[in-house]
Amino acid sequence: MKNNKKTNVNVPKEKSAKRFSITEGFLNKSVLLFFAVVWLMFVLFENVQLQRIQELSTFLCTEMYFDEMMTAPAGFLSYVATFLMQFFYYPALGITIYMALMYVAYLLVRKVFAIPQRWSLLALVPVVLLLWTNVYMGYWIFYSKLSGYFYVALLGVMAILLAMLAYKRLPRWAKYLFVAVWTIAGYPLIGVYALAGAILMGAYSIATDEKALSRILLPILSLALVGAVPALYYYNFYTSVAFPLMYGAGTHAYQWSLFGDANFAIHVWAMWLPFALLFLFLLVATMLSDKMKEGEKVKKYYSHIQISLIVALPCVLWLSWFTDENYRAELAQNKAMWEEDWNRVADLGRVSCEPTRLVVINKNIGLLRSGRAGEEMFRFPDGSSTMKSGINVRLSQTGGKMMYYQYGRFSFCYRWCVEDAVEFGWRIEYIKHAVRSLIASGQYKLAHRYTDMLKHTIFHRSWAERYEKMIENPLLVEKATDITIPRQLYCYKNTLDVDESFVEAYLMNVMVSNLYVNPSPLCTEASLMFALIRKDIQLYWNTMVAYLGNHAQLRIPTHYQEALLLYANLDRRADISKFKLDNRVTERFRKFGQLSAKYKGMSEDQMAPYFKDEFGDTYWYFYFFVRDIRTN
Amino acid sequence: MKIRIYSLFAALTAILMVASCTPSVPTSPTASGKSPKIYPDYKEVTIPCNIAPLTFEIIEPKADEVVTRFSANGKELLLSGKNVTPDLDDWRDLLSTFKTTGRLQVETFYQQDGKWYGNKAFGITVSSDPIDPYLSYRLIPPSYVAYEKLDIVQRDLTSYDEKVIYSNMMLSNDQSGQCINCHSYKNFKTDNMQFHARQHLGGTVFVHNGEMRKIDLKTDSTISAGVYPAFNPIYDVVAYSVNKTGQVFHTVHPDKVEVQDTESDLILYNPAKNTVSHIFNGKNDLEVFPTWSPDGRTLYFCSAHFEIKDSVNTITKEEILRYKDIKYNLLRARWNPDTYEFSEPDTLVNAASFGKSITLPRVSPDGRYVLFAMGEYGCFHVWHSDADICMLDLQTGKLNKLENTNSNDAESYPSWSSNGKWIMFSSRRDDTNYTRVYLAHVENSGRTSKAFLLPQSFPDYYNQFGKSYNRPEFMVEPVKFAPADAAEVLSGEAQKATYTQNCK
Repeated sequence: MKNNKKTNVNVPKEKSAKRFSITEGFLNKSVLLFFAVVWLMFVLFENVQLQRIQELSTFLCTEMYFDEMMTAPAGFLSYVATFLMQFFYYPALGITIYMALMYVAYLLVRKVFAIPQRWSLLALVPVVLLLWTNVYMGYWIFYSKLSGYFYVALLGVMAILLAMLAYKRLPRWAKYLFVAVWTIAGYPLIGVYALAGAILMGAYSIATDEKALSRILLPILSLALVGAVPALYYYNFYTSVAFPLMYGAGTHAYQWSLFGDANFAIHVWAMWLPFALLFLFLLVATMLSDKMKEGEKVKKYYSHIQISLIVALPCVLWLSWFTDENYRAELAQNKAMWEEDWNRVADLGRVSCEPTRLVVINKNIGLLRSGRAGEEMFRFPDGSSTMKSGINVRLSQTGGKMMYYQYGRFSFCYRWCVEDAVEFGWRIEYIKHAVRSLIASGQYKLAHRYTDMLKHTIFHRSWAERYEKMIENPLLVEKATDITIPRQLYCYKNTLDVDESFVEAYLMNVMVSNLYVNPSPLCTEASLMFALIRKDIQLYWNTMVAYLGNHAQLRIPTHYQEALLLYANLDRRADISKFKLDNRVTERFRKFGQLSAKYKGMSEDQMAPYFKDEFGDTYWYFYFFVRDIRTN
Repeated sequence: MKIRIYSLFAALTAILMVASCTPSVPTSPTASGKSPKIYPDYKEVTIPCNIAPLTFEIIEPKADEVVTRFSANGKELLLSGKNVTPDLDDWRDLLSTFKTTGRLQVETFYQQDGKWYGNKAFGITVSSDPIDPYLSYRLIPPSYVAYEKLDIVQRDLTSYDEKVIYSNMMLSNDQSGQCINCHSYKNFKTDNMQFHARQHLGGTVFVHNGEMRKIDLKTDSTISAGVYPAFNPIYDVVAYSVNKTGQVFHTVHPDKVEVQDTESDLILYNPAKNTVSHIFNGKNDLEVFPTWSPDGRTLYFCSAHFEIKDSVNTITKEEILRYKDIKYNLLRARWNPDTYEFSEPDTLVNAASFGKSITLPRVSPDGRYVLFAMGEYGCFHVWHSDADICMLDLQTGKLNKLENTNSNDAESYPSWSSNGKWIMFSSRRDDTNYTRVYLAHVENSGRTSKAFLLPQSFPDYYNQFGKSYNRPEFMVEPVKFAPADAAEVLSGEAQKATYTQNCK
């Protein structure tokens, strides 16, 4: 292809083509618009996710951190990528850096493969594929073990493109040397991207070298290096990667095994697809670059191709974008919990679909902490929708630490920090949970270790210093509501226990147990809430008595009155005459009874719609009609 | 001529630069009257003459400048900065002056608001008893249940060099993880050694007279594959315990984790015949942690007697409820190398009788002392803050609590150097959760010195390093195989051990 600068696009003379007259200016604007729109989408709709991605990563400014990263091939790539990921602390700044680098990658694609202006949209293909690898992640942000994954592919591709740029300009003899040095020196730094680059260099020689011998020897050398270099490093240097995975260093190969459980494998194939297409694009572009002529047929359909690209590329991006409402609600609730905005935590539970358990539990925590639980707990959507992901997402890993912390189960919060740190490394979020739970349980010496760690970061130093002051002067803890309030639930006897990763079920059991000593008002209310969810009469009476003991002078909130009426009705021995109940509640209960009598003989599923409008906001509705909730 | 002038100028500049970097001891500093606060705490410790340089931080937050002077036998070493990191050659040079045990004096000076102060000097006793040149350990996060990357590593004690013996990541992916543990050596040497792998491609990598193979120690007659190996120092047998183990977690107590054996027996393995037989498998006895006497004719081990009181409960449930009742005593039994038979065991220390629990015994190379970890209950003292290292004098029967060496936090996994002059153990004294290796000198009287932390290349190393040091074991030589060799052996089929009544 020749670069037709300054000329208007040679629009074919057919009528149809004239209708779709595409100028270079239009293409330029389209490309810029594409980058601007993607940037804006990230800023407007993904800022919470970007911030969480950053919290689930860690970059430490220490030599040891660098050394540890370098113990695996592609460690340098991960190191730089992780460094860049930390800027998502300020999502707009982080995504600006990301999109700026993406734009550089776009320019490099055009430069390396000599893509003329009139075909510039083609250079957006790898950009879309690179974006796809990230926007498709969803719950994988909790599970990815590839450090710096958000940037790794982008930086890897940029490294390949730069190498190709240099390679193309070298004399033939130097190409042999270059491909060898690139693979041998590049593999430890950028892993599989060095291997991919070597293949592309070989392919380039096949496509462009005029000398027959070089067309054979250079690809052979490239392939030999691709086969041998990881093996040489495995047997002589690296001990942190299995041999087959050496050929996938710098990718998700460690986790995305194609040969396992069938459902998981299908999911994983989909995850690999953009990477495969990306390599295919680079390979084809390499083979075609420098020698592709625009044939008559291509000229004829030029406008159609451009229009197709303009439509297809955003469509691909849109379809690959993970936009699950529950997922977003969970992320937003988590952010609000760190900010102690409990009303917002609760209100975010009002999703339009069936909520996941995490959304419901977070909502309940929000209601408990904002003092709205007794009035509103059953006025929100309830359920136990499965988290939308191809992997088995465990509550303990997405929200368990926060739940344990907020319910005063500090040792279990810390435990899950450590368990997950073992698997995924010490992420910022884990460190912060660890610090708070250790301070809350008085383990200052250990907490100090983690504040020290945070002080080696760029953006979390001040957070660490705030808590370090509490470690040095525990009296300051009394002023920190994010610690003192959860500590009101830390009033139980020590036992040996396991949660088997079932956080909510475990909490439900222990919160209604009799292990509490002088429970606080917050504690008794939390216990009562769990007892209501359990729908267990005996547990209800036990926890209600404790609750009333702590809230004797106050009006009984609506839902607790509803439960009182219901359980007294079910358990005829109970005398509730001494309780002051709202007329509105007793009247509604009477009507509920009348409606029940009216539909007597129907199954609960048949009855539910008749009760939904009038009683969907009551505990009675929850008790009788909200069923099959899978706590986890 | 021009060149000469330039050369002279360059040489002068270089000299000036070197001179400006060389610290000097301040003249007539004011005595601060205090002992310096340093981390790690190497004040008044006893170190071997061949140990790597001790690096430490002088904690003087307000100091603008700090100078440290090591001096001994007419030689001195001056270093500037809060981080004291002696050069390896300079350090060796300094320590080479100690022909017999002597005192290395350490003086620290600091400048604050333009004025120099001198702290009280402290001493480090340099013992002429050398320490074994290597030690190996497993690097593991202080985890509960999960594991990911585990390395068994050997460390050169005379420098900071550390090499991986084997890493589980060499054969792992996310779906197929492998746990590795129980590296062990015969007589501190590596021609006869072993380590275990569990789960993916599990088995025991066993090096027998220099030949490496993979064996499967689980038989139909034993409850698990062997753990806690003890190579007989003289004869070609290895004692193991076999266990059924579970983990539970404290809901409040900072000790966090309890590891409990619901079943536990002892077995003997004959590597030449690849056979195993039971040593002890008492019905309500939990026998564990075997170790041999230097003559190879006495087996020491621990055992707890535990019976279910509540017939409704399972052993697991009852152990969880009565975890403080599980207490291990120290026992020993004679072994006949001709018949491979053991005598009835006798209780050497009835720890349960005084409310304690003994684990991980190790007999000194001269056979006089037994080191062990002792805590309030249970078998997993690495998580017990009340656990300390104790030493039993087999001649006098006196139990020494090594108060000079222990701390208020968990001490566990003690072992002896090959010359019996040094002990090593794991301790959580630094931050209560991360296990570190501590070393202490043993005098002829059995008295131990203040323990010192395994030195690293820079003082903040342990604060930054996120793994625990597990099963520290002395070695007199490095492991001779490459990590990839072990991976290859583990990738293959295991030779299954066979059970016999007597494995002779």
